[in-house]
Amino acid sequence: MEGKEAVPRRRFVFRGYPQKKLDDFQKFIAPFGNPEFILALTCKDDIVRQRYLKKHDVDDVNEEQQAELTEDSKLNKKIRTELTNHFKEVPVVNIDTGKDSMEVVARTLADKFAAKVILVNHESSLSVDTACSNLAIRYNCLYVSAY
Amino acid sequence: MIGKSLSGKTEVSRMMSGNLDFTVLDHKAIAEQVRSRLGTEEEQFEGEVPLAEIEKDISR
Repeated sequence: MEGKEAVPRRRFVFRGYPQKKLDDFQKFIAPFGNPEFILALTCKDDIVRQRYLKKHDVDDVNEEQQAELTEDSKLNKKIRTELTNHFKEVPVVNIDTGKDSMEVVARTLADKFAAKVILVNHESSLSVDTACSNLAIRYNCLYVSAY
Repeated sequence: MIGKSLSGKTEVSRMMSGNLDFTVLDHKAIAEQVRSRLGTEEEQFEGEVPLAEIEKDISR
């Protein structure tokens, strides 16, 4: 590490899927590598309806708006199936934002993605740093060596 | 992150960036930045921002 600064590993999350086609998405994502996870949000249609009413400050959803919401829901199901079928090895984190409160959602996210720490107290002569660092990288943890 | 409209993507994005140190790449927000770049002082860019332009910005 002499003369080099440790570069923190940046983690990205792509919000949404505007490419709409798997081929286009694959081309776009190629420079970044395969995703590490697919975060799939969902909630029941009546929750979407309630949120729509609140967001647009209206009393009812008209036929045209309802058709748009239904179409969007269908498209999302298609995208989800397509992505999960293609990236079979990639873990899918499902979150129901209608069923779970935001506190529960925050906890679920923290459980899945917050940094965890491996703290190892050892004799300085023991060469455990490389092995522990590799484990930390593998399991997305921070490695702290104390001696 | 995928999800239908109003499924909570904005709120979850906020949690991911605020609490978990993720960088959220939001195509909608980037599209607006690209829009201002594509337009001129005299004439704003109108219509849908080409996806290729958004992707170029992200890859940069």
